[in-house]
Amino acid sequence: MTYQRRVIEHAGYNAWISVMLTGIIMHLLIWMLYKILSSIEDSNDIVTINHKLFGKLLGNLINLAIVLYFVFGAFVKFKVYMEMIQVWLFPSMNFLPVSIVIALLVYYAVSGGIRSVTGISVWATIISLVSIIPQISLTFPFLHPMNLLPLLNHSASDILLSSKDMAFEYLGVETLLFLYPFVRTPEKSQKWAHFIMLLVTLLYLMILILAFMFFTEEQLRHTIWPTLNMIGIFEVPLLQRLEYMAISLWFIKIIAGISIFIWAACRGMKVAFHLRPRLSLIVFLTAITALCHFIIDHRTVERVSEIYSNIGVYFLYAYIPFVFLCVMIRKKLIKPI
Amino acid sequence: MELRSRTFLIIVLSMLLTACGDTNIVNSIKFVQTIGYDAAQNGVTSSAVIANYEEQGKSKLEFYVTESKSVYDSMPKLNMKLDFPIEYGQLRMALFGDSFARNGITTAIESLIRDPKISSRVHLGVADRAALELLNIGENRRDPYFLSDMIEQNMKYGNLPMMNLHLTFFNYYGTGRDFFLPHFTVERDEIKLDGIALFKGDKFKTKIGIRDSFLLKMLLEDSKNGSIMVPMTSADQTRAEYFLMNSIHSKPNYKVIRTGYPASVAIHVKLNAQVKDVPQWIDLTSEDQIALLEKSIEVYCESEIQKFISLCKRNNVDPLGLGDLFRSKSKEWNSQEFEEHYNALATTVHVNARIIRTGAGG
Repeated sequence: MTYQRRVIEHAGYNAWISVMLTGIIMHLLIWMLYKILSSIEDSNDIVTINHKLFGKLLGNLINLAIVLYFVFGAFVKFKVYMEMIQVWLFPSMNFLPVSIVIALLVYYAVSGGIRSVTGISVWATIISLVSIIPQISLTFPFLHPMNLLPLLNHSASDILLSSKDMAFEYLGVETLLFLYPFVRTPEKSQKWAHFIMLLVTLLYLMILILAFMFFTEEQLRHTIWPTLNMIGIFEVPLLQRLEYMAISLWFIKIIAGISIFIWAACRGMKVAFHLRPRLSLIVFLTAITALCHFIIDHRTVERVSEIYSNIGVYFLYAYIPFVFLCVMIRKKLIKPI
Repeated sequence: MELRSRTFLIIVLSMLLTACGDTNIVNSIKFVQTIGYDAAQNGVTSSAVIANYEEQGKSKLEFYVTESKSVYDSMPKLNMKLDFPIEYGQLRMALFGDSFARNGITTAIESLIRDPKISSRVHLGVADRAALELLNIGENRRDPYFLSDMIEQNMKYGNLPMMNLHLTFFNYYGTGRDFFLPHFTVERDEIKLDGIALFKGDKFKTKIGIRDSFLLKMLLEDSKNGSIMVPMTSADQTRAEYFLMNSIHSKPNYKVIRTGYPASVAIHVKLNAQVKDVPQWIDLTSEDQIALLEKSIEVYCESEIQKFISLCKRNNVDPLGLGDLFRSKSKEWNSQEFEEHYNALATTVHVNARIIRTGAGG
């Protein structure tokens, strides 16, 4: 929702290269994830892999960290969306009841198990894919392709820095670490995982280039929610302000994202510590709602999501390759015996 | 049972989600439709035009004026004069008085863009006198959207290039671009759009007439439906005669010749036009005479565009975004440097006009 502004911080309007770069790295990561999850016999989720690699105690410590990381991710998603509603829709509303209702919805989705979580995700994917078409067609008269030029006026390091910022948008692939055992035919699914990653990268690229042509660079730096501002220019019969509808449609995407994260966290707790998912679900949701109630200013939200994004980047770019290496070494060592 | 209770739960939850929120009932808020800003002694005079919908279809315009230290506290000050809270969601027009615009309008437009309730399609405009005075005339019209509709229709069917709050910000923040706004005056107690106000930074610099605004439109976008009077020498070569040219379609094309200083650019405009009101001696069925008209359009537009560009250079404003054009073509472009050399910028203009319609009569 806000990545257009974040990625241009370093690379300016060359940031589309960063998006492509991040997309390629993500393909590599997916490949690694599949290798990690499929190489060790009868342990195909991250909890058991951590146990095998690092022993029971250290392994569980890492597992707990991963679980907390997922809960943190769900919280950030939740809070960022709440803030958007607060700024755009209901500035003076008391948000505790709303967050409780949303938490109940997530509770409902997650307690339905993996099936209902993936069900929501399907709808969320369809919505993002469909919403791109009117965006392109309605912004068309306002686009300035000249903004994209000159093609290369930033250094390689700037572009790399921006692609680090971009990784935040891809956070979520790591849920595969828990989802993998539920995939019926893992070998076939890898092809689909790569396909959807390609699609997502293209989607991000399209939205980014659209924003680049719609806003000048300085203007984009002053815009907190570029996508919403862009939708704001549309004029359709009956509805004067389309952005309100967009925010409401986003709700389903947000619910899907939160549900998946919370589900992964609960699953982690169950496998690692044999806790009942329902119990951990209630604890996590209560914690998120409470945190949401106490963090109220935009600056803290920005800071929190920056911390989350940094942790996420290390998780993706350091932890996963590290586990990958460990798994490969282990495989080499065990094979000859 | 399980399924039924689940379904029940989700219905209740979704109902809860729709029912909460701040409610604003139309009768108990005041919609500001047009707002005017004027420079006052140590502060700003804001005037809000608010329509009071008493019966269906009828509206009575109310007028509230308040003085405040800056644009920012105009709303709380206005609330002191109203029986119901003010709401900006229906704002369509912000008008700046002449002296206010000359002092810079950043504070005003930034406060507009920061408010998510205000659409980025809001129109802005400059009056040649105090905004308050001009709005008082509009009051007679019984239409709160008179000014914004006037701008809207002139962009569609007249000589105004596309403008709104978003595009103003696009040009304001864009490097190597300056924005422009419609300019209003009063003629015989009626509001009249008399051209375009060109800005440098956020300060009103100079004003161009409605003919130049057609040229600006032609240089920026499709000048569809715009029209100008084109002079031509009469058959006996004694006096200048005019004919009316309507643009049906036009397309500008910029080609950067040299990015180093002095920079140079070639502008090529393709124009399809309709001509139907011509001096009597011209026969619109004759091939030669049409070619003559085409030639006069080309010569006239070329020289007027050159004049317009030199006017921009003289006033150091860049409504065409020429700076941005050069930025996109060279890697080490620098806005300050470009501005210093802006006066020496060389432009060649070529207009290719074709008359494709001549009306129904011969």
